[in-house]
Amino acid sequence: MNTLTPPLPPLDPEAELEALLPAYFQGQTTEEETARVEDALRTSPPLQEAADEVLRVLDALQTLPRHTVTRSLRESVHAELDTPLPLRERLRPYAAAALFLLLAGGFVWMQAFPRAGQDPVPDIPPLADAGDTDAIRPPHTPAPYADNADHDPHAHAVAHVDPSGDLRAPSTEGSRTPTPEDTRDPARAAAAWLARTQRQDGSWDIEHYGGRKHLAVGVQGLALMALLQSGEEYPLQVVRAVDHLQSLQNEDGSFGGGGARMYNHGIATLALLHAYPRYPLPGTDSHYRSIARGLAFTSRSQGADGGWGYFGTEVDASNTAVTAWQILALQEARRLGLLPDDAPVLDTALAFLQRQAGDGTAVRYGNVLVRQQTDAMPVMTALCLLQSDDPDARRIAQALIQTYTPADSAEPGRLDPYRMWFVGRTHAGTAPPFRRALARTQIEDGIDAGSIPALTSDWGHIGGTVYATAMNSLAASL
Amino acid sequence: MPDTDALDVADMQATANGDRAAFDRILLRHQDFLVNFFRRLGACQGMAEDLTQETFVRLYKWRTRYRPAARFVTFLFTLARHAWADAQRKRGRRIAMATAWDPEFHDRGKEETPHHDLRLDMQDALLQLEEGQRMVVLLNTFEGLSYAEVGTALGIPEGTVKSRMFHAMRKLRAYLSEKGYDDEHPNAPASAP
Repeated sequence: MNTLTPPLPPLDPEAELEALLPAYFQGQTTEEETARVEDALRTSPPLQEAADEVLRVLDALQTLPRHTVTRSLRESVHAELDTPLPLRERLRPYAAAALFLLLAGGFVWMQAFPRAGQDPVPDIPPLADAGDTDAIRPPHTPAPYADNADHDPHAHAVAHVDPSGDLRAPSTEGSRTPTPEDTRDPARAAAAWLARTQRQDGSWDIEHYGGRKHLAVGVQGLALMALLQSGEEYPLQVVRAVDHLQSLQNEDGSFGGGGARMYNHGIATLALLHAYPRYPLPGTDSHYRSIARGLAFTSRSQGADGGWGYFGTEVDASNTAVTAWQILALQEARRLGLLPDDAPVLDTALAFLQRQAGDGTAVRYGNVLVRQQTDAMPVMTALCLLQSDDPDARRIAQALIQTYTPADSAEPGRLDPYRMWFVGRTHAGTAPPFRRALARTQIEDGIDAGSIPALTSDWGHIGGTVYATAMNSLAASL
Repeated sequence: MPDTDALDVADMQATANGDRAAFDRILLRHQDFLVNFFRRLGACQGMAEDLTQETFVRLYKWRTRYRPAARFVTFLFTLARHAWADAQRKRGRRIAMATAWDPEFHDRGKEETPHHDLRLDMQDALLQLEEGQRMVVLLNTFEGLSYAEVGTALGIPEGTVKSRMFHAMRKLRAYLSEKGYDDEHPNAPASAP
């Protein structure tokens, strides 16, 4: 047992809920715990206040620097393992053997006693039962989908696409396998990695690649958008991803849940909208219905102030970033004619965002004023306001763009694809320094060729490699 | 921390069968996470690397007795926790602490990196936590271990993990508030992307 700190008294039920908040925000709670936390969040202002502060602490902790080894530990570990033990240490096993012979029936005793020359015994978990092979999962080895097309229900759908039905309709060749030529372009190489690592059901194993469970739905949406933006090279993978996103939709029309619910919802809805006009496949009705249900939830969950918060509930405080994602989806829906012109949801949302932006010198995130050029929020606000019908909103957007769109990534040696995607969309171009940084970071060879290591990108520590690869691909494609 | 459990378990079994290359793969996969763990516990860079090396030496010695009954990282951090505790015992709790020498602490206010002051304050705040609470926070929020897994790694019940997390969060929240990282502070972090 750990004796570093004295034992603490048991927590009362309210304190236990508060103790669960960090796990809840990281998607580690069970369904029962999640339900308990969410019920309490709806009714308990003190817990809501604690939740806000815990989120702030968790994010502040993520600002801590990430260290790497500065010398070859491999060599020093091997050197230590290969160093012959001193004579005294070498004799110890013999001494133990002598003891064993001296003590009849000492087998049980030997099991309980640490063998000579070894470190103190750690508290390791109990041994698994023999034959317990479930604990050993095979390494993640995505199948080459072109080989599996015969067995894939989506392949049929792709094969029936009418190329003349849409300007950018996919070819009828079905899936293609990424080729070495794809690695010449960072965005194409990233898309090729995404296509390779997609699972048969259209999903990506977000947690396997270091992403947090509670963000998985949004990351699936970003991966779909990255495949779409790469061109028409992976129609089968796109159809699979669309199908999978639809399967993740909740009964109330929302996508995802927990502390990042509205992020997941906004991004997933936007991804489905991006896919909608490009892949008019059999089954489009379900695609349309999914979008319509998603937009209905967006509309229902809008706050009285016109914005959205993390949870999409009536007690949730609105914030700028979450609201911007919903607006991007609503604007895309209107552009596609899927949102009536007289639907007030978009106008009231833009009015909220305009209030958050003030005179265009800084943007508020909830109540927090953001002045840093490296934050994405002013740029995503500008992107939304640029498409407003209100000339004042567009003027504010231009002011924000002038102030908050420096051409470089956040820090030298670090990628900021989240912000750069918005910068690219406001400027219709992506900064050369960003592309160069991306080219330096992208893995060139091996099974992970084309991927972007998670920790090299902002928010990669919670989104994982799929997020980093998809977001960088999106930013570099513009 | 990426979930590499299947790879780790397979490599541990190969290591037990004498495959040093498999052991190297485990080392390369986890060395940075362990260095970060020890750095955030309060060790300087050199000490953190020494402790990481010691953890891997212990892991190698355990290669034939390891059984995948829980996630591999749970086992690895158990070894890391023991390496840390032993080092503290041997050195009379005189492990070189990062704040005592780290030049970053002497450059406060000079660097314009986003969140620089907040970053330093959070390092300070972590070091002010009791060690048991600090370990719970690190293993859960940085290494992604669930409360049950943290309990296994530290050898304490899950209820104790919750209790430590509760008190740690209260202290960190109070610390941030005391330092002025409230709603109007320009460095106040956004709560999500």
